[in-house]
Amino acid sequence: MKRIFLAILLSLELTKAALAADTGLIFISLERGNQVVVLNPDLTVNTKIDTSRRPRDMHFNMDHTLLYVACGDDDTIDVIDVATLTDIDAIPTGPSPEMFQFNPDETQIFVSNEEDSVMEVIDIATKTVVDRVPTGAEPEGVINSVDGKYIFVTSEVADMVHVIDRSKAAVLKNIIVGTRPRRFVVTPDGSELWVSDELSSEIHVIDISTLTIKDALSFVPPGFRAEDVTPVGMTITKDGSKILITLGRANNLAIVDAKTREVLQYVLVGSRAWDVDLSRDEKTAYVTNGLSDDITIIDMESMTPIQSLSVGRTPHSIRVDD
Amino acid sequence: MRLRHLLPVLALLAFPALGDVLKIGHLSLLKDPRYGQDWGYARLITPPPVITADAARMAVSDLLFTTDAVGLSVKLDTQAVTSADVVAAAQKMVAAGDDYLVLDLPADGVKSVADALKDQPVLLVNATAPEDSLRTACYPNMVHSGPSRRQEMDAFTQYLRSMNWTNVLILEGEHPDDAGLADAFATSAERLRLTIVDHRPFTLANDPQNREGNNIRLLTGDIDYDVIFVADTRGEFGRFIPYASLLPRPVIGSIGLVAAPWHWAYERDGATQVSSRFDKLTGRKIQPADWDVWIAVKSIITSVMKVPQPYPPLVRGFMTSNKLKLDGSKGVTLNYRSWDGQLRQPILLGTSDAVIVVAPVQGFSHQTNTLDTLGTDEAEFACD
Repeated sequence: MKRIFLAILLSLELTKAALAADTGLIFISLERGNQVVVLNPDLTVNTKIDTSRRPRDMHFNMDHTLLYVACGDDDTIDVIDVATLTDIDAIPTGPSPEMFQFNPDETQIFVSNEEDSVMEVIDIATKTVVDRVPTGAEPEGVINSVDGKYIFVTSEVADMVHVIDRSKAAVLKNIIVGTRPRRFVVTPDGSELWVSDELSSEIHVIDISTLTIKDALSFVPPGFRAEDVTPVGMTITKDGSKILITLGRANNLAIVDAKTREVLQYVLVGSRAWDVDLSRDEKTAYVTNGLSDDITIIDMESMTPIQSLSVGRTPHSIRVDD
Repeated sequence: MRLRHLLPVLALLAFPALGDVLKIGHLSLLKDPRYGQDWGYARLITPPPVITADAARMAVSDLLFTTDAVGLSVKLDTQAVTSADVVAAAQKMVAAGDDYLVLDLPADGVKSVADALKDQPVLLVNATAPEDSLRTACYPNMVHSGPSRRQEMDAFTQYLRSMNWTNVLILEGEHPDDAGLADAFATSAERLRLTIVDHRPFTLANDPQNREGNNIRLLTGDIDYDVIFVADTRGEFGRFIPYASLLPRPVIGSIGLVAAPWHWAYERDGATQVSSRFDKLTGRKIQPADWDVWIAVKSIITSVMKVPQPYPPLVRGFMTSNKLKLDGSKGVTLNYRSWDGQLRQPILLGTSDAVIVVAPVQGFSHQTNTLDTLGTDEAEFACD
């Protein structure tokens, strides 16, 4: 019995691997360029894909055949075909979609509508809105809990994290955090939710089992003042050991030990560091810099910047297909 | 590698008890000359109408989720009266339980309300009167959410310095406020060592015997300068100066490049969301005075939720400490200065439809907070 199960799992893995082309392409959404720029693994420009206006958050589907892009000024989530590098579809959303997530079986999108103060649940197959959950003003970060029970959404104006019960599509609890909460990571063991508070220069750590704040952290690189630190983007390694946090106007990336909460290294990047992503082998990190219109590529082993690269107007998000 | 655990601070915060009511008053003038809609000849409406009570309502609604979460109910009491009734109205509002009053009044109105209520345990927020004399009056129960003249003028002079436009011609109108504006600019220019090449009064009538005072080419001739600063608080003549000066020079001040706490075209730092929310709520473009009132109400509600007891003097103490971390959608955290109760904030320098630069201008530094390069700093500040 066990063996059969393993065989199924293996074949699933194989199918996934067969579908994923692992192109090594790097996708960057340009908020003011209305394009997704695609870089080759050698960092030369492959192509620039025109999208709907104001492309921001991006996510691949599970097998990396499609890249979804939230386009804030045309109220759509565009769909890019990774094989042909063309914009093939647009899913309508409410006003000003910013950040989004899929549900675990990838049939639905949870999207924050920045100008409508709503988190929408959109059915991908029918492109219809199946649920709308009112949030505080300017909702932004959206993430699932590992067990799929909750969706967490930040409200930048209400200074809180909404805990949404996924089965009921209703707010279960509001947790007040710091000023202007933006984005999340969930630790792979499902125990902790990290929240970046842009204007109070903090990271709040929420215990998911009790839905209470268990820690508030502050990361100030040498030579900066606390008020220069405006943390936004975060990502976590697959083993849950390291969390990467962009520090906004402090122009640094903090690489943090997730367990001890100690900073392992501050890495100098570009002006107003925004989003961060890791390559699949986790040897390389990529940071978008919103005010200097470039990206910084970081070697994770030495934790040093290797190169910065001009990419176009206001890079928002970065995703690597590998 | 500094890492601070901030949790002990959080534990000290006591949120208001369930069922608490916070009453905020908003007092404005029925016909505020600063927002006059028939400035132009033949009732040409140049500025859009400004009713800042809209902005107060938006602030309450923006924070509704948060106030609901802590069981705080916010009641807004908006009153618009004639200038003769300002003091009586303010006293009535306080008697009715408005412990917090946001004043959208010209300086004389703010002064008379402050004088009448200076011994009351209330908090007055001067939202829209920029006069520095209200700051140096040091009313014990007042803070100022809108920028002081000096903050706005320092934004200009930092920019002129950074552009190396160091020789300035000042043109000043006939209204007493115009003189105040021109003087504030001159004070700021002196600190950054700009040169005022001349300071010329402008008159309105086309009297042929006073052509030096009313003809724009003569007014701007006979001397060289890098930039023209226009002090015209009532919008009487400033509109006619850009593109009409004898020398081809940029115009700043009341027209051309204007300093303000907010601009509807500001598109960074989440500003667009505030402006479009306002647009949706009111059907008009947000004006600087709207932002002043919005941030005033927002500071009151945010601070009341963070003090152990919602008592106005305690709330003022919290606001003027560095503990307040206020989000004004201008990219940095805001709080009030301890010495003059003035909100620290970036100032936008904008044209009719674009923000050209945000001050503090890059390169201007300060020993404690860069925002204190704008406005009267602690060392140079003294109460009257």
